[in-house]
Amino acid sequence: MKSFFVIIVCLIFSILSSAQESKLKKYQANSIYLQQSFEGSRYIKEGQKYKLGFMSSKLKQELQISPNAVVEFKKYQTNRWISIGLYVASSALLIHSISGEEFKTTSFWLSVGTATTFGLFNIHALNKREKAVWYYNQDILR
Amino acid sequence: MKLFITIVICFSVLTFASAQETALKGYQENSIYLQQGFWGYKYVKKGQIYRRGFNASRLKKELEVSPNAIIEFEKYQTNKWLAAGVGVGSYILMLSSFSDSNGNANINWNTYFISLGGFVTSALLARNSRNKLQKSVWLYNQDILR
Repeated sequence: MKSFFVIIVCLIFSILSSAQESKLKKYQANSIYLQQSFEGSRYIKEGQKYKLGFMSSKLKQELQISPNAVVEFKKYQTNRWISIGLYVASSALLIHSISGEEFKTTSFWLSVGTATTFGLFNIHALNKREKAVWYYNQDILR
Repeated sequence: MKLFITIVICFSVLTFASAQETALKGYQENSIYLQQGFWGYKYVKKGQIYRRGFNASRLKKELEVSPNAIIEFEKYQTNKWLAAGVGVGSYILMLSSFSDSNGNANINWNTYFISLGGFVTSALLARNSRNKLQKSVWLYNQDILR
């Protein structure tokens, strides 16, 4: 009876440690984190650097296995497109304000306001991408 | 004997599944991700947003369970302070490159270009520090699975 219990206890410990080890290995092999480099943002997976692609399209492919990550990623894309639109509008307004002989104050302040809104949308977009990566890293453990 | 082996196999499978579930729950409760606020980074843990504290001290406390994360975090801090120092130095240099003699504005181009180089260096150091912070949080999230 004693040896039976010893076997069971050893079994429990070995199963627990192997389950933990398998999760850790899964995480090490598949998890992602973001980095910035000279040429823009990159993502790292298993120690290798990968380009994000246009509008992080390559990263999106990685995230496909996690529905939660994809939801957040779509929010990132929406916010990113809005921020790009605002950036273009702000630049156009700034050019309009300084073009011609007279300085157009209204256009200038509108451009400042649009640039600030651009900044906020951009931060929001990047935060959504960060959250998407976190969801992905969590869902690979399932 | 057959019954005993069946019980042991079922028991093993259940224990394995429950251990995996525990690891996932542990991750959900303790993992961290960063979010950019208007005044710098914040971090999110268990759905709650936390301020990182002065010099990210609060975040550092969270990361202390992972020695690997702390090594990267210290690199983040060093780079951040270096970036700030070089940035301030460059700003002062740029201001000093403009002088006003007899009502005429002069620019000392050597100083001006050194200050521009300083700004670029500061930006590179700041970017490097952000990368170290990202890596540090990733290492922490990995080590909570151990």
